[in-house]
Amino acid sequence: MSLHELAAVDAARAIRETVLSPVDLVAALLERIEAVDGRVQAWALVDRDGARAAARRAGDEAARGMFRGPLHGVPFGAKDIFYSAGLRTEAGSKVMAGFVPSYDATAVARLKAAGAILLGKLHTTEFATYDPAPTRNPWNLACTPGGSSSGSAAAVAARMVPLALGSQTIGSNVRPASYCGLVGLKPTFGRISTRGVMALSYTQDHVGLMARSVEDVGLLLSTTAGHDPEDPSSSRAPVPDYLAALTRRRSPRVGLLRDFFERATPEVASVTAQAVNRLARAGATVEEAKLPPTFRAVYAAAYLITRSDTASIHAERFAQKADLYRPAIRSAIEMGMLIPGDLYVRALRIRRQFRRELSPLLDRFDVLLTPTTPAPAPEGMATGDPQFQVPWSLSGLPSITVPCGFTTSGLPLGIQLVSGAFTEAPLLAAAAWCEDVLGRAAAPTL
Amino acid sequence: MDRDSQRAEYAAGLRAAAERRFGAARAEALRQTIEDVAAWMTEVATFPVDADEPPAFYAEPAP
Repeated sequence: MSLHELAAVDAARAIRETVLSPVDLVAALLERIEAVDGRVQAWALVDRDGARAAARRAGDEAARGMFRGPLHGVPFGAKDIFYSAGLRTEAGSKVMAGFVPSYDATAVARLKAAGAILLGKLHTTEFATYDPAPTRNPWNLACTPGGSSSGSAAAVAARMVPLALGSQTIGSNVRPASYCGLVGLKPTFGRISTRGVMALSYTQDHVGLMARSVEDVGLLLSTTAGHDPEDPSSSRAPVPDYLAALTRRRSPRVGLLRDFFERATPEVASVTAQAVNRLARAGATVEEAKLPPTFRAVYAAAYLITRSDTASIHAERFAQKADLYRPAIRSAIEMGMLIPGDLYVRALRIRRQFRRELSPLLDRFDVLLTPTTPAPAPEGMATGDPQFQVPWSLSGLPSITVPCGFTTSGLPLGIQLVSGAFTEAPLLAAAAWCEDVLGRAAAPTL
Repeated sequence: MDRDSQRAEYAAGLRAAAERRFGAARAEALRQTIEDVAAWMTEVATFPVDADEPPAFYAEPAP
């Protein structure tokens, strides 16, 4: 196996056993970027010198038996809305051209503290909204990788980096992960600090994680989760041992959300149903589950909240630089300025009611299951349909996508698993069990 | 007021507000978006929210 194909857990283990040099690993990934990124266009900025220097330092430390943490010497990429000290962070927008933060986003800082090496910044749609990034899907360059975490998904899928940070406000992490054949986790709202992540919504912004296996995502979560006194939305809930949870895999009780299957294309519904049958044959208990009546209003509520929040967050910049915003985010900000306050508050009440009404359902099952997307990655620049992620972004509940098969045209599909607030440990265990049954997506041919 | 009338009223209000704040040309450019937002506003306004349901603001308490 080439070094650029190594999973993060395997790379970390090899570095710890001093059979792999971080310098060689970084060199292999930079070589891979050189070979394929001209076509994929995942990276907004590759910090070659910084990554090489960090790799030399990590190698020297490893030679002395010193390891900073569980990701010592393992490279990662960060969506270009994460602050990175001394590195341009432009959010895919002319509005932020040349902006260089003075500090790292908490998630970036925690990964570095765990020994990980920031390889560079990954393309995003403008401010993580709708106006697309240049990035292409490694499985089919004519298709979108999804968005807004376009570069994060494409870079991990194309074996340019084993781990990436994305984000999700509507459907921006789980959807592109699925379009690119990856495992993607959106943890519970407040589980990972959003300090230093350019905001889009005060109530729906989540840091997202992407990798090629559930175990690698568990490793990412274990190093990034936890309270951050600098982020008022950050939870004080204790952080369990997510990697230990992965050793407790067992067949889950699955609640099948039939509504989602009916809104998927026949091919997606069929591939997902076949995957569910395989899970059932392997021992999962599968029953139909029905969403509460509030589900009807979650889309309208989510869109009113995010438009209003985005307008508030961008108010000062927009007043000075409206013409530099691309069309979709410009419209979103303008409409957010016009939404009445009473309806904004009513939407937040719907958010809370939806979450409350979901509780009995989440108590009955280990996970709720849907197809991750209603259709595979579409051709062209538009980043696809986020509708299957919206309820979980609004409610703040954790959701994860695991690859489950391919379309006849060779595009990856996934199953989406959802669980209760702050139950990432059993969610990861269930996802790993499903991954064992369904297998991992192979590498795309580039 | 039925839902269609409610939505039409919201759309008219949004169009007028858009013209005032951004000018007639931008309001025209926002025509489809205004229709979408008016539909969302109608859905949220007419959905039966529990009377004692407070809004979910920033952070939810940990379990």
